[in-house]
Amino acid sequence: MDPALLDGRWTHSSEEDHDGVSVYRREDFAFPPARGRRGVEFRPDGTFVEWLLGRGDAPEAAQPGRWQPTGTVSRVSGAPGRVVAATPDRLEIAWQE
Amino acid sequence: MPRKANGRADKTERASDNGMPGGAMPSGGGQSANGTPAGNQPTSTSSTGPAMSGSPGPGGYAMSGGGGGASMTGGGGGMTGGGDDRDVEQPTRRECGVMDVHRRLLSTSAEYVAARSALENATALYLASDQRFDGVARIPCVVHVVWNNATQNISQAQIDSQVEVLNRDFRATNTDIGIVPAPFTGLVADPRIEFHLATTDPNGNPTTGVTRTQTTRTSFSTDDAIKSSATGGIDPWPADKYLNIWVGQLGGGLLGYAQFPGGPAETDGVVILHSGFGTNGTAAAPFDLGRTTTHEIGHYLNLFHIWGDDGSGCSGSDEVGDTPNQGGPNFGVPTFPKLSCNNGPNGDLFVNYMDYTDDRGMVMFTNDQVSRMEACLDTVRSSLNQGTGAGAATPEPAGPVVSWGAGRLDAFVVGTDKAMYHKWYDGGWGPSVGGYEYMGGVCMSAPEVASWGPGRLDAFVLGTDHGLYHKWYDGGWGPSVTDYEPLGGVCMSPPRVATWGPDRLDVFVTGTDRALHHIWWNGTAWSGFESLGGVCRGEPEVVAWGTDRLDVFVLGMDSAVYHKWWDGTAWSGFENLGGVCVGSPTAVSWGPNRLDLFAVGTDSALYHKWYDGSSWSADWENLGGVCASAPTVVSWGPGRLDVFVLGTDSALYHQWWDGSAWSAFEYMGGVCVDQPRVTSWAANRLDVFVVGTDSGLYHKWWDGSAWGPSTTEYEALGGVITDFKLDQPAPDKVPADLHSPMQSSVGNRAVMS
Repeated sequence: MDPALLDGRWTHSSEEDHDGVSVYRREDFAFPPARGRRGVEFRPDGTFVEWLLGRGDAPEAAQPGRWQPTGTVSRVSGAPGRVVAATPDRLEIAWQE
Repeated sequence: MPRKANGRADKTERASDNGMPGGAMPSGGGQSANGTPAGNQPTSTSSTGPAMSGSPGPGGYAMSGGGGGASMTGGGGGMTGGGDDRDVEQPTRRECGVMDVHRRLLSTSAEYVAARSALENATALYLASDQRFDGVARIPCVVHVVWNNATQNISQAQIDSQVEVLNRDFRATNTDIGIVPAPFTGLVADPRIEFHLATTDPNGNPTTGVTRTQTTRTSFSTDDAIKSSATGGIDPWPADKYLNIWVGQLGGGLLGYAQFPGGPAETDGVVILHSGFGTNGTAAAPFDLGRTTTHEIGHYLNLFHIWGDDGSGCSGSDEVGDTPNQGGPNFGVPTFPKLSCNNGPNGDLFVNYMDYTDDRGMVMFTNDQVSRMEACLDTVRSSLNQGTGAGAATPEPAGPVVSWGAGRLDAFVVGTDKAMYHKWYDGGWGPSVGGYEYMGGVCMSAPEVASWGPGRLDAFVLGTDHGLYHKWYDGGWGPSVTDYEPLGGVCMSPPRVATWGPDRLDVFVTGTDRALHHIWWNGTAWSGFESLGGVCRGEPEVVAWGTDRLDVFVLGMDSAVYHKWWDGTAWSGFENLGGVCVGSPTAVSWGPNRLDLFAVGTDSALYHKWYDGSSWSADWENLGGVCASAPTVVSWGPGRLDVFVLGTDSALYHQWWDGSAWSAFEYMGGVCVDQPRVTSWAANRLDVFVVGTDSGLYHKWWDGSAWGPSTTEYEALGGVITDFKLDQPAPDKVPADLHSPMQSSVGNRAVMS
């Protein structure tokens, strides 16, 4: 996996989740409308931001965690995860929960 | 009065249409000028109510002595309240990218944090007071359609379908409400809020309440770009008067988002995906029943998600008492019961609008959610409400002291040079604690000031020619700080003013024929003077309980109170309310269909009579006391009255109705001259102004828990005043040595003796 592929913001494409794996897509993906979609963001400095369902329905950033070039992700609240697949327009994370 | 009036401008102005003798305000001999229209105001004393003499108040109500013994004691609360939430400034622009609006503001704007905190406190106070506005709140909306391709330029029918949904969902008349599981049916509540597309735009012109803007942007996110022309969207209409609803293409599958009350005006409102809006056109299942807008307006009216916004945990709260604790959001359309957080046997209230189900799964608000929305509409969003509810629906009463919103006071007095002077409070006193702004004129009456909205003042006085003069503030003073607009007439009483809505003013005076005369501003032009007949003693009293409603009270030659009202269509005749009063009555309305009248009887006791929507109280209620001044009364909300009078010891006394009973007279200290003045900028807030024996203006305030500076002390505001007329030059205009009587008492400790 090329860590550069992870860079930036991803939105949960829950309709594509499978086998305990959460699927994420880029912002320009044709998501069907939904009441709320969580998201993730990989920043170049190793910061990992989870985007939660916000109070006013806009996404809200959780306290930032960290991500490693190996694809492991740690969160302040919530179990760690691991990137299991990444392409330029599709990301899969297995959360250990 | 106005220098202009006594100088060159006088003659030319007087020659114009509303000019006096022979003008529309007859000075005698005119139509129904002398006497009463068709005998509606009899001159006999055959009152319908008992005379008010001969029934002295019970000893316990006597106002002499200093006891009081009321519970409103305590340390002085400061006046450093949060101020007007709408004034919160826009934080520095979004360097943090697409952060949630609420969180972004919380993290970048100290003002927003303070405003939100103050709002939660106000909500708690409101809920604790168990107030519910009567009637229905009506909210004018503007739908901003922002489109990139023709499909997104949704039809009027689609917009109308959304308004219909709102008017069912916020009145609990939605036809799918039957899906509420039986254990929850007792929670279903009618918010009594209705929505309509605005019919008047911010410039006062007719409008469809819909704007349409083509954009080059293919989609918008939650960064508020859709809310600004500079970023491909469209600017809001003034958020204090309109609910702004932006509809467009949103990216990322976003259905919509909202801004909570207390945020910046520039971004206030809700944003909805066009295909989640309304019930036809581009609306698409499963979000094609208009519930996204219902949900977002819930947020806009201060409702949180029913699960408490803590992910899937059980510790978050929606600050609503009657919703079950719930883990995370529910999606789709769950089956009853859906359990979480040990909330069995009934489980989650997943049929609630503030959950995350499909449109067909959300059908109700709860009682306590409704209370929160009502609190919002009666406080931070009160200026939106054009309905028959309380809050903004009961227009701000006029007088020498007014408040156009929370944290704002404007006081007007006349100086010994007969000029008008002004001071204001917006967190601190302007131009200074003891100073006044010079406003020119030569005034023969105390200023009568009305405010029909935030940032707006209209002041009326009589000139030396007994003509009516007007000046206004809309960000700056018109015609200028020291000039006045002449409105003509020859007035034998001070003007009394009411405003029942934005850009509307109704002024009442008595003419040389002693009849009641009326002149009004309809948003475009002044009428001429209209004679309403009658033979009046003293000045009229007027109150507006809602849109297009006026109730006028005058004292007849028999000292009885007579009542005449405008119902939106026509004037009534004079109704005799009886009594034998020593001065003009004071009237107040706490909401639609409610009137409370106060007058001093010949025994100097305070008397009260009220209209409850169907009839007047049979008798004048004797509230006791021995009054040395006319009463002043204010209502901060339904079921609440606060009356202030001076006792024979010249101290201020306060008596209040809390919705179930009258208090005794509370002793408030001071040695005062002239009628006290009072205004209320919000529930549980009172600001009282009196004139001391040193002729200075003094102030005290009730902040919801205590009187400031204390129950019997006053804040000195300078000036040398009688009857809200300064009898010596205003402090800003006099040599410093003349300041000393006031200056020495600055510091919030002055006792007026």
